[in-house]
Amino acid sequence: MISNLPWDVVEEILSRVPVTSLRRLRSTCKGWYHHPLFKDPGFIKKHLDKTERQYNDVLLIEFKVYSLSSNLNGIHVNSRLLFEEGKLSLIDPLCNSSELNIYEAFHCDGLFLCTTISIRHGYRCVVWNPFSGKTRWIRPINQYHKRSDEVYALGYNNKELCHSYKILRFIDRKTLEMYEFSSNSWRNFDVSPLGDLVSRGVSLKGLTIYRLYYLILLGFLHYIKFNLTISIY
Amino acid sequence: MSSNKIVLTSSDGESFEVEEVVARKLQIVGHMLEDDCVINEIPLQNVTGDILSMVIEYCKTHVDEEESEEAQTKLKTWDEEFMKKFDIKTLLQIILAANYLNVKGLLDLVSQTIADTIKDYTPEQIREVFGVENDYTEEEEAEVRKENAWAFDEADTPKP
Repeated sequence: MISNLPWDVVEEILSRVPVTSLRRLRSTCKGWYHHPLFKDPGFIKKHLDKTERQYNDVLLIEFKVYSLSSNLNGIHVNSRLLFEEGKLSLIDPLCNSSELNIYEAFHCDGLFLCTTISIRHGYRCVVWNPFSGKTRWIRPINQYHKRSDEVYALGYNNKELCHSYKILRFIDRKTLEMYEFSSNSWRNFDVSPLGDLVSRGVSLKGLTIYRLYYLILLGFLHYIKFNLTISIY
Repeated sequence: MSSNKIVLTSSDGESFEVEEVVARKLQIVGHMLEDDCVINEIPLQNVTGDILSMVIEYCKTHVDEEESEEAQTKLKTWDEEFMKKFDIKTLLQIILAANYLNVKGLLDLVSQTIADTIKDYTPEQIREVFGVENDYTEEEEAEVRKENAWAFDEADTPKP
């Protein structure tokens, strides 16, 4: 019985469970849900150390989803098509049958933050789990206007293991907004970011670019005292 | 080192005679031997005979851990086959024993096996296997599930 298992043993087990499963397991009972383990920096580090190599990254190339694996130093990169061609696509809920054109995609934990474009509805923003087919359409505070000056990123607060996802929206290199999935709402950050956030989709050579995002993000999020990481090696 | 024999006795009185090098894989035994090297019979109060025999089987196999890649691969294959023999409840007993007897390699191996098993479990299955009581009201549980469900739990929602 796990209630009789010492916590250090439970910790050994849970530190090896992928974070996506931990989120589900955490709702087993209140004791698990509120357990300080999930907010313990030591445990979070241990968890990342043990499970890092279990994650494969996912790429979106020409509207198709690829899995990406690389060795620890990111020197050798292999990619393969995850789903058969044509079987996996994002369908527009506003006109049932048509597939959406994805303008940009940002990947985190197997989730894609996509900006889509269509003649009738203009630019829209959706978070998509291609494995389950689930989507959440995100309504921004202000409507999209000058598209080229808007940048989006998907991530989470790495102070909590079973994180709630957040979207960062960076407009005209001046305004920073954050959307939280748990509350389904946006809020403004009243700051002038020092850094820059560049997001231009993902590509096979995106690994290097991702790393760059990561550094830039950390730099300027540190400035606003909010530590958000993008899940990349 | 001579092939000194040590007798390990389980909580239900079962005795196992093993080589000292095997017994030393159980760090708890190792410490006892350092404290007093004339012991040759050790009672292990928190482990039953059937579980202790599994732990000893693991220790015998891992007694000389060679560095060569071939030996490592062979051990890894053995580990995988060994783990396949047990259901989750037995694994939980083995992990308790490995923790108590302080067998690091076995603790790692069983932790990983349990983690791989429970990662696909629903909270209901976890409660059953681990004997955890559900202390949520229906509303609270729905709320907690809703919090993250949209992204990862695909079972209850049809595809768009």
